[in-house]
Amino acid sequence: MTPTADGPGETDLASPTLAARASMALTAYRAGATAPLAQLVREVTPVLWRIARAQGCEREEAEDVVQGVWLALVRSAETIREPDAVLGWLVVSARRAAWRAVARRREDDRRTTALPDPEQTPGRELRFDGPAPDDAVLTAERDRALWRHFLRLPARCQQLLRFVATADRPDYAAIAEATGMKVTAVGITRGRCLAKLRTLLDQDEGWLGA
Amino acid sequence: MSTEYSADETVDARDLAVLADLARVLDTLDPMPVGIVDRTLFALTLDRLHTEVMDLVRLEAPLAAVRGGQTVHARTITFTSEQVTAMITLSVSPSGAVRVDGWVAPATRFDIELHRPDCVLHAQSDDDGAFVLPDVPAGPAGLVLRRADGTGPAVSTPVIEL
Repeated sequence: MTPTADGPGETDLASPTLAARASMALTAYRAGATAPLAQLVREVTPVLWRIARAQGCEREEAEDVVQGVWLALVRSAETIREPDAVLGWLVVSARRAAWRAVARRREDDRRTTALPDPEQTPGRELRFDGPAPDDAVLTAERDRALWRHFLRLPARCQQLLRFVATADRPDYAAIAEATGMKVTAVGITRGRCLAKLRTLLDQDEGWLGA
Repeated sequence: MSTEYSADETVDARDLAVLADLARVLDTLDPMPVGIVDRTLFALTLDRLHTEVMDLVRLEAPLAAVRGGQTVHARTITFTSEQVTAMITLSVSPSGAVRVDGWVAPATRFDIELHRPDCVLHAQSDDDGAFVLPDVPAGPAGLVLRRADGTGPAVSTPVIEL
């Protein structure tokens, strides 16, 4: 992933986008070469991790989801009909697996809890264990402003932006499409969520001034 | 100044900058676990070695591990599938490595393999389903459990960090 001094353009030429590299990795894997897939695991795991966390998985659950998605990919490597769609396949699989993991945990909680706690249940989906909006680890006022406004967005928007933000620029289209954003011939539309965040940020002196 | 941004416009450079900032903030507040890629690659390697293995899923023991903010030196993880449930408790061995105490249900003899990137450790559960791996080096590990009588499919855990 890190460009080297002697060949900065090499990766760009060989593999323009993550979606294209994903497709090549699967094709190579089918032919018996595992190295490109290992590279893909390194590159896409952060995206899948973010998706699982955005769906409400605990940290360990999210890691299990990530492992499970990659296992599912290699186990169905022979039957995925369109290698070109493999990045989207990974994203969608991660969302589903994360959703199932959260549902399973809730079911388990429900069975092991004597009395349901109505205060607890609705908020669970949105829980982001740990940091408060003005968490001390965010040293820049600008970052704190961003995080504050991000937390004011509807839950669905937070979820969507969390994983769109993980992708590299040439890969927004593939990630965005797999997550239900509108992709047109001219590019990706900003969408309701990002528009709302931009509007909130523009009203914030702390963001503008920093 | 209060511009209303349109949802239907194409993303511009400032949108991308906001997303990049958000990615950085998320990475600071909720960093990806160290070693997740290595554990995943190891899980894929294990999967190539063992075909016909059923996946166990982790079942979180509700808040048993941490009490009153104290550091507890044992960690319990439960894995389950329709046919097999395994619980392991990890503690520090006298040599400073990891002691794994495990219980398998149904309570019967299982051959236990603990796979590490560099070796495989073996144990067998007793008639009550209990087993011990007294001294396991820290690092990524995946368990494979097979019934000693050869019935039923083998089961495996996700790769975890010991």
